[in-house]
Amino acid sequence: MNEISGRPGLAPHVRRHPDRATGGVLLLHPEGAIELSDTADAIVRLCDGNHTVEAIVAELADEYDAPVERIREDVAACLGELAKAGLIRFA
Amino acid sequence: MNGTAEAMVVPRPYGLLAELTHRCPLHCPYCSNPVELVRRETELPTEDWVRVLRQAAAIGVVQVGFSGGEPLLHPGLGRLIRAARAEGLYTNLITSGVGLTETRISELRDDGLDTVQISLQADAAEMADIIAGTPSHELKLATARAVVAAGFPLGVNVVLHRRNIDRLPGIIAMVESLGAMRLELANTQFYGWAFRNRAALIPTREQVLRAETVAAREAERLRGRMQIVYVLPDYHERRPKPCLHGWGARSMTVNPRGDVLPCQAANAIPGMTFENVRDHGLEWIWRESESFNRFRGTGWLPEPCRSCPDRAVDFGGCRCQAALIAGDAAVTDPVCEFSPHRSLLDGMLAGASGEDDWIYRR
Ligand SMILES: C[S@@+](CC[C@H](N)C(=O)[O-])C[C@H]1O[C@@H](n2cnc3c(N)ncnc32)[C@H](O)[C@@H]1O
Ligand code: SF4
Ligand code: SF4
Repeated sequence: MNEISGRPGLAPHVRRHPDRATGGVLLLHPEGAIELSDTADAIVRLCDGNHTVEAIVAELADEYDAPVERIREDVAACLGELAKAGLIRFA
Repeated sequence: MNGTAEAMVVPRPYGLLAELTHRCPLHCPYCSNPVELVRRETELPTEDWVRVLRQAAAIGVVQVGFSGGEPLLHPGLGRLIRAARAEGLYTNLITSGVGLTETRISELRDDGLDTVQISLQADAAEMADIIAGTPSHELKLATARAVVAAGFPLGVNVVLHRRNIDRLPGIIAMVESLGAMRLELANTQFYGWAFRNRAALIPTREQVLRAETVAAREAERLRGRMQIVYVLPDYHERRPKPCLHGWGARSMTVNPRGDVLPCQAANAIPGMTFENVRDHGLEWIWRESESFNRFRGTGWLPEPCRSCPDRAVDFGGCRCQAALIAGDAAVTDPVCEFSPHRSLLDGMLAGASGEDDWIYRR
């Protein structure tokens, strides 16, 4: 299993795509597209290879004025799923 | 468009398959392209394709596959990739690999191409070249390695049939050694030229069962390193495939002449006419045209599907298969165990002795 730590970034073949049809955001990859919820997109936007997981948690907790514990859970769940699908990597 | 309770809002498309040309240096007996190919003189010019890409992006398409025939033979390929990327589309090149030199690979990368899928015929040149009808295997392997070296995520597609399906372990090992990201093992779909060769191509039940076991075991072994997608041989199944998630539901194909099809094989349905991008915009064709609405949703379904709980799962299966086998595109896919035409398919399975030789397209 992938360890949810370090600095997550989109895998090289994955692209974040503002969806003209819905106004939402998609992650495009070789086999298709997955729709990101607003929460997931907020996380993905910080997956730039510079932010550590903890930095992402801190930034979102600040932005949404929410408890760090809860944000940490959301971030771990979201990154876990994206990593399992091969869409992000940890540097 | 119709008054039943199951009439639906027109969904938005996600994918466009752009078949740039039917011309091809290979002669695969399993080729699903139509028996009657579009001739070079009637191919859609690059400017028209650029317009199609813009229109596609405007109605929701986010991914485009450039295919054929051999898409590398179309003079506008590079420009089309750039046009697609300018619209934010994800671009995939679906190629035999023949003609993909190292220079070409780096040009395509500069154009913004996202991914490459190469098809291979078997695990060794001797057999692969017989299947392709021309020496090409070693070249394809070298090309696949060059694609990986250039940093592209490589997909490999191998079409399975009676003559190569027993070589699955070797095929998987070969593709693993190429460093592919994904391997699609596609049992032959019997459309176009492949339908002609079905007696030679249909595997035995024993072959199919063995292959499924191997594919499942290998998918497990390679988990996290190379994704294996095993496409079931649907003649041997009891329920039809949910063909493209339904007619006019998620994707469309534009063939080399500019005809817009709900699926690649739809041209073979007798009595149906498909609109052309030279005459209409893509949005109208997708939303309004008779051809795209004919089998959309589940409201049009006949019995036994109409009263079957699985109609929202498989939408009654494949229209092209119904047309090819039962002679009527508007009936239940003959693959289905509840189809009154299932016996026709069983007859075809029983009649495929493997003694027939295939015919090459020349
Ligand atoms: C029609 S080909 C065109 C692109 C290119 N000439 C090639 O063969 O890769 C598109 C894809 O469909 C696959 N294919 C061809 N005939 C098929 C069939 N009867 N059933 C399933 N897949 C098929 C090919 O292996 C290829 O991956
Ligand atoms: S499947 Fe074979 S014959 Fe058909 S288009 Fe592809 S390479 Fe050519
Ligand atoms: S009867 Fe129709 S809906 Fe039911 S399983 Fe068969 S094809 Fe699918």
